Amino acid sequence: MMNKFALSLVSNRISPSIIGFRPFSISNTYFQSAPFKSKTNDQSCVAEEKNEKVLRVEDSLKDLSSVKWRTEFNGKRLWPHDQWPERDLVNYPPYKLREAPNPVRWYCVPESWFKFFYEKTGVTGPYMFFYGLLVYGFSKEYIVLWYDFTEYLILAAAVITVVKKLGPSISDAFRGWHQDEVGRYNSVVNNSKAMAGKMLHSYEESLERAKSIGALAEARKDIINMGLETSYRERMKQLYESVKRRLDYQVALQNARKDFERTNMINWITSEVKKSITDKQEKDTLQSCINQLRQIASQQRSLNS
Amino acid sequence: MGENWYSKSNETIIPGNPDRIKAKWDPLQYLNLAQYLKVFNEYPRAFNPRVHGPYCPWRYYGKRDLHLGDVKLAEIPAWIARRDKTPMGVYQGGIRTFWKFYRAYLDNKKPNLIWYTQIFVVASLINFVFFAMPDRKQYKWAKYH
Repeated sequence: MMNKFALSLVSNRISPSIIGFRPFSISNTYFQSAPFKSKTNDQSCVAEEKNEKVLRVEDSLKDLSSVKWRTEFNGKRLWPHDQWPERDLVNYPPYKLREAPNPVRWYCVPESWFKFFYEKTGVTGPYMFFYGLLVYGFSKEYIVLWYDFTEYLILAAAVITVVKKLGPSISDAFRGWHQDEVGRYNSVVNNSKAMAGKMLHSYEESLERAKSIGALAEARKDIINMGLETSYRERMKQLYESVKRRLDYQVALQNARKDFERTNMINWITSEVKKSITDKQEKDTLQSCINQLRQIASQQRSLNS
Repeated sequence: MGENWYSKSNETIIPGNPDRIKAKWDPLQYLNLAQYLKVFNEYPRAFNPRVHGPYCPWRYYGKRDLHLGDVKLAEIPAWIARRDKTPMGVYQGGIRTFWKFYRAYLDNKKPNLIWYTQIFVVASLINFVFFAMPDRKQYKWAKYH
């Protein structure tokens, strides 16, 4: 039934798929205007549609086959409730897969019954009802205590303990197997996504490395320039030292010359003077010095006293 | 066949187009039993996809009526009188009940065996009330209770 409804939304005729238009009708097989005759081969499994006329609710929607509904506008997909303003989304919301089954007590009594009786009887209402039924059955002998009653009691106890102990583990095992199967399909997509992400990351890395190649070249240029500078400075230093050495030599040469001249002159002069000093001159100078000293001493004595 | 079967622009003659494939999946479909069951294979009269959207078999698409829990005891005969008691109505009600049960316990992401237990309990109750109790009446311990 739903398949038919879904089929009706797909075009049954040759239509250009350039524009986002589709010929729409509730049930395409029921409303066909001039049937399109293409060159069909009898041996193919492609057959022509037969005009089946059936009276349905869509009697009022007779001429929908000529109506064209847009499937997309401005690049965005249009949904039926966009085009059907009378769609009641409040009272008839769209189908959603449920997460969990209805809650249940004692594994067979639904919770909605408990909620319904809560106002009238409180929390213990349904419990009292079912236990009361049991007691009523025993007392009025609707449940006859015959030899097989113990069997049923033990069976109930055994089933309840087994379900309570092994139930969760078995359900986990089944869900795990189911999840593995689902994961086998999902992992394909997830792995391709991960690989795509990794490849993108590597491409981004290589792009960054491409940016850093310029810096490397600059670094190499800097190193070479620094070496050139070093050698230049070394050579300048050598130049300076050699020039200074030559100049110092000239200076030292002149100084030595002057020194030699001076010492030679001094020595010659002193030696000549010493030679020219006679004995008489010596005695005279000595006497004059002693006289001076006496004068000074007498002056000193007069000053002190 | 018509034009080039490999044409990409002409979508109707692309191989795999489900609208043009008339071979059926299951051999039993060739018996075409749906033609005899057309009466049961139709949407309800009050269903309008423009208002209700896609068809949900567990939903009642007629005029809304009170829940059984909200109805007063005095109004129960009137409430029952409002029901659709034709065979078609009863059939549709049964289908809706089944689909409600299916949606409550089987149409979810974490199913369990409560549906099985409930069927078991109901079947065992029916057996007890209609077959076991008349049997056991012979083995009663007392005559008057």
